[in-house]
Amino acid sequence: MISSVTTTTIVVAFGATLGFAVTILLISLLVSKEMLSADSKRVILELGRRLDVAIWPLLMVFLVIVAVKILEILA
Amino acid sequence: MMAELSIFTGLIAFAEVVTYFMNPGYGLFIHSLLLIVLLVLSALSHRSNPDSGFFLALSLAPLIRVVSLSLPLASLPKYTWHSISGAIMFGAAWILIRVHGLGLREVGLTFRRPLTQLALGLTGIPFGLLEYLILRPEPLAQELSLEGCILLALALIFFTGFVEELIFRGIMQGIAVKMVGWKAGLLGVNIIFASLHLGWLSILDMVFVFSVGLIFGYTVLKTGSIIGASISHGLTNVVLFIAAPLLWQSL
Repeated sequence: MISSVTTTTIVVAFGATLGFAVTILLISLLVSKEMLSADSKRVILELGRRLDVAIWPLLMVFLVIVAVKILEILA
Repeated sequence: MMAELSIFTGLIAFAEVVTYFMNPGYGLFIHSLLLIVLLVLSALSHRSNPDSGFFLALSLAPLIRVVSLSLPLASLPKYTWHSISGAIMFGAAWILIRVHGLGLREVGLTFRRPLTQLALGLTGIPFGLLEYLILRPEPLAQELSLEGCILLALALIFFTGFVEELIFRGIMQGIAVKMVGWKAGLLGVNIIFASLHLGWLSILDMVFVFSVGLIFGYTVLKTGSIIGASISHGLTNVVLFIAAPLLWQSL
């Protein structure tokens, strides 16, 4: 009963491409958050706050991607 | 809210079908889009606390898939996969709890009715054996020592059992039940929970996961605690991925 890990086939076949796509998503969310924080409307500020729910996990994913790349180069 | 729950449940299930049967890239795109839409809807309804929390809680479902699809797991040992993605999702759940201002009791982090929790926890062993008979996965801990197996078992209990119960039963079900009533809330959240298991490519397993999810959800509703469900969920995975495959090999 594990939903948080995808099947081996997908992991092996698409890992790098999907990692790149998520990096783009993370950058877009970070840019949006910066732009939204400049506004004074309550809804906009709330959206900026709620984006954290997606930004922090994706940032962690990005760090794992970078760490794995560095380890691969070192190896 | 009933319509919104039905629509997003359907869309999440559709995104899973696309991910596993068409193209994971398109699946990731749909999940990312759903994630952003749910976060925007949550912000737009910020004046109404339950509505806002409802959309925010649902956003964890597409986020689970976005995280799991994008992690470079192929480069890491298989036994680390669940801990890494579980730790990241635990962080996401924790941030959501803080952003929405939920209390620990509200998400089921309480030891009420300890005997019931223990009894429910032990059901993980038969559930694990049953799911092993359905899926027959490869052993996760084939090359590990006894200490390694114990560490992996603890990691599975925390990062898959506890984290997934916190997300689905503690946060998502807790808020959905307030919004649409207990029957629809239980049903909707468990359809999402089962659809996120589509990757195992077994209809029988989805039926199993849905049924077990209903048992967990109902017990969490009655006791107000996710502890028993977390132990049971964790033990199910320990038996499924560590104990049962090793036992089967030794026979």
